[in-house]
Amino acid sequence: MIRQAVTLVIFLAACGAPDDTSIDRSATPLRPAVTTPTQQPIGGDWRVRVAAEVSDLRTSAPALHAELTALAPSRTRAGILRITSTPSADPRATSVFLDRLARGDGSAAERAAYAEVLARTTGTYADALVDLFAAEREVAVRAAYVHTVRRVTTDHAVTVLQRGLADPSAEVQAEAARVAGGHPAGMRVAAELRAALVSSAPEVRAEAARALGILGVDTARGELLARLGDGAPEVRLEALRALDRIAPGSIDAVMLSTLARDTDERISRLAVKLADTAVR
Amino acid sequence: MLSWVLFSVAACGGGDDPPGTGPDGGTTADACTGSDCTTPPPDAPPPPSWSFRSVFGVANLDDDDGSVRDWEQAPFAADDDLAKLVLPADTLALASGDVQLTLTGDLANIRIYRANQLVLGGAAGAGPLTIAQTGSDIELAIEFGNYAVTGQLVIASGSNTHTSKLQAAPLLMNHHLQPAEHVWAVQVSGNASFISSYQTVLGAKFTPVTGSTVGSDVWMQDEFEFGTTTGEGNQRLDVVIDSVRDRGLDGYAERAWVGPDTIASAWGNPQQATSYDSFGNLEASPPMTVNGVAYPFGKIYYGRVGTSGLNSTLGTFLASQKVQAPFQLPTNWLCVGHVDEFSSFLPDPASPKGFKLVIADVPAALAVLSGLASSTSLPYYGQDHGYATVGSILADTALIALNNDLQADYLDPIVAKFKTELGLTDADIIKVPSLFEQVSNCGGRVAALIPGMANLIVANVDGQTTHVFTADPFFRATTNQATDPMINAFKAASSPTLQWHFIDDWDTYHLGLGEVHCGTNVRRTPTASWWTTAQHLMGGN
Repeated sequence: MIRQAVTLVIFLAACGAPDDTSIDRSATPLRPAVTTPTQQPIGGDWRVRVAAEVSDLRTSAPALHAELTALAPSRTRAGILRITSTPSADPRATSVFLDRLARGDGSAAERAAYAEVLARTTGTYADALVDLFAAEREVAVRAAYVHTVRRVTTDHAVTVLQRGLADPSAEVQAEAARVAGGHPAGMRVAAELRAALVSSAPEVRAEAARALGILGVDTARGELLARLGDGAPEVRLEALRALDRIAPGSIDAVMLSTLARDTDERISRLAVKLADTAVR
Repeated sequence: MLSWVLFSVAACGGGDDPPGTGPDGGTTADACTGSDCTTPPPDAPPPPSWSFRSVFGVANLDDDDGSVRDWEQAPFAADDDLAKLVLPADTLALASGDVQLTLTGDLANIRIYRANQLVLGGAAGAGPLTIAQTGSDIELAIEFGNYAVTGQLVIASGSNTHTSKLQAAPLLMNHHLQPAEHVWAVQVSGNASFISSYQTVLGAKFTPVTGSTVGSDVWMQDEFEFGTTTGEGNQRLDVVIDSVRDRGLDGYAERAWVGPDTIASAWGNPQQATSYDSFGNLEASPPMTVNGVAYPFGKIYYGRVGTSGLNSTLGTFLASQKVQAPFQLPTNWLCVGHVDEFSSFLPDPASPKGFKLVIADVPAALAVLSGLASSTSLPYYGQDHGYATVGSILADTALIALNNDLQADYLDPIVAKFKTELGLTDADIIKVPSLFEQVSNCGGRVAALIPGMANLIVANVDGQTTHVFTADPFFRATTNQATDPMINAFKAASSPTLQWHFIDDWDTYHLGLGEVHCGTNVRRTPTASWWTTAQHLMGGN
C-alpha cells in the first residue's frame, strides 16, 4: 500500500467520486484540506529551503512562528513525548520542526517527538531525514526518524531504512525492519532484512522475519525455516507466520506438530491452526 | 459522647445473619424477636435467646477532625466510623452472672471501647473482660484499623455463650452499573470541546480541573481509582486508590477529595512504577454469577503477564479483599498497556446479565470497512495517521496483517478469558470496530488507530438516563456523526436505552495515545451490602 500523504488530492477525488455514498454533502467538512502535498520532487539543499521557509513564516505569520518555535511536546499516556496540539498540523510547521531538529533543540525525548510529528505536519521533510538521521547520536531520535519514513515514498526512505538496519542500536534496527515490512520500497532492503535474521538481538530477528513475511520474500524461506527453532519465542512466532504468508501450506507436518507443543501459546495456537488448514 | 453510627443492634436471635448463612456461632435456639426478622412470628412470641448481632463496619482510616488519621487517636465526637454494638438488657437478663467478653481474631486491627475506654483489642488484648450486670444495656463501640479484618467477640455468662462476628468492610472497586455521583476531567488548551461535552450533559455533576494546577496531566483515569467501603450503619468511607505513577495529577486527591470519609492510599513503589501501574489498567466488571458463584460486586481485572504488569503489591492487596476475585489479562502488546484500551462494560437492561462486555474487535472494523466505498475520504486519518481513504487502510497489507495477528494472539484469548472469568457467552459481548497501529518509540507495540470507542465512560447521574461518553471516531469526511459507520455499528450493537455522546478527543487524547476513559474519572455510589451478599467470598458461610 502506498501511504502517501497527498491528502488534498485524494480528498478532493473522493468527494467527487460517483460511487461515494458515505459523505453527507449537507454537513460541514471535518477539516480543511491539506494545502501542501508532501513527497513532491525535492531539489536543492534542504537546509537552505528550511531557512528560507522559517524566515518567511517569521515574517508572514509571526504568531504562528512563535507558537511553533515554543511548542512543547506533551507526555502521552505511555509516558513518551508527542506533539498533539493543532498547530502542528500545518505544512508550514514542517520547516520549524526541521530547524529545531537541525539545531539539536531539546532533549532526546523532545527531539524524538519533533521527528515523529513531521509526517503529521504534511510538509516536505524526506530529504532532511537522511542527514538528520546520520547526525543524530540519540537512539530514540534515530528510531523516530526511521518510524517517520513510513510515509516517505521517495528514495530517501530506502536510504534511511538501509542505515537503520545497519545502525549500532538494536532498537533502531528493529524499527527499521518494522517499517520496511509495511513500506512500498521494503523489497529494496530485503537483503538487509535477511541478514538481520541472524542478529544477536531477538527483537531484530523477530521484526526481520515478520517483515520478510509481509513482503513475501520467497528467497528467505530457508532462513526462516531455521528460525523456527530460535530460542526466542517472538522469533519462532514471526518466522512461522512469515512462512505461512510466503508459501501457505509449505511447512511440513512434523514441524507443525513440534510447534503445536510450543510453550508459547501464540505459537502453539497458530501451529495447530495451520496444521488443521493443511489437513483440510 | 461519641456520635457513633447507629444501626439496629437489638438482639435478634441470628436474624442479622446474611440470608441463607444461618446464625454466626450462637449456641442457643434460633429464635427471632426483632422487628427486622423475616420469619413470621409464631402465635406466641418465642422467648428471647442468648444471641447478639454481628458487626459489619468500616476501617477507621480517615481523618474526621482535621488532625491525624482517626485510627491513630482515641475516639472523639466527630468520628463517625466506629460501629456500635449493644448487648440488650433483656437478653443479658437471661443469665444471672457477670458477662464475660473475649476477643479473638485480628487483635491488632480491632479495638472495642466501652464508655470511651479501650477495653478489648489493641493494647487491651483479648480479654476476657468481665462486666457486672446492672440491668442496663451494655454499649460497645467497635473500631477497625484495616480493610476486611475479622474478629470474633465471645459473649458468655454462665452456660450461655454466643460469638458475634466483627468484620471490617473490604475495599471494593466501583463498576459501570453503579450510579455516578461526580465526574472529573482536566481542562487544558486544546480540549475545550471535550470539556464542554461533559459540562453540557452533566452540569454541576462535572468538574473541570484546571490543567495548570496539575502539570497539564490530562490522564485523570490513570492517577486514581475510586473504591468504597461501607458499613451496616450507612457508614461509607471512600478510598481513592492513588497510583504510584505520580505524574502531574499526583497530589490532586489530597487537595480536592481527602477529608472526612474520604482517604487516598497508594500501594507499590513509585520508583519502580511503569505504565502498567496506571489505573486505566485496573477495572472492575459488573456483578455476575460464574459456575453458581455470585460475585455481587463483579470481578477486578488488570493487565499483567508474568512479572510485567500492575505492581504485585497492589495486586496482592486487591486479591486479599477476596470479594472481587481479581484476574489478569495480557496488555504487553499495547504501547500504553492498559485494559481500558480494549475493554469496558455497558449497562443493558434487556440483557439477562444486565450488562454487556464491550471489547475491541478487528474483524468488526474490517467488516465495516468492506462495506464502504474505497474512496471514502477520512481527513482526520489522512493527516494524522497517513490513511486518507478507506481504500488506503485496506490496501495496507502490513497494517491488516498486524491487526489480524493482534486479534489472534491477544484479543481472541482475552475474550476467552473474560468468558471464563465472568461466565459470559457470545450474546453478552459487544464487538467494537477497532484497528490498532504501531507507534513511534514504543518497541512495535500498538495504540488505537481508530479512536478507541471501548475506552468509554458510563455515567448515570440522575437515576434515569445512562449517559455513555466515548470517542468520536471521525470515520467520515463531514461533521455529521449520523453518517459515521463506526458510530452506527457500535450503537446498533448496544442497548437502545443508552444516551450516547461521541465526543472529540482527537488531539489531546487520541494523539496522546489515550481516549475518553483515560481522561476522565468518576465517583460512584455503592449499591450493595457486602455483609449480606458477599460472605461466601470472604471465607464466611
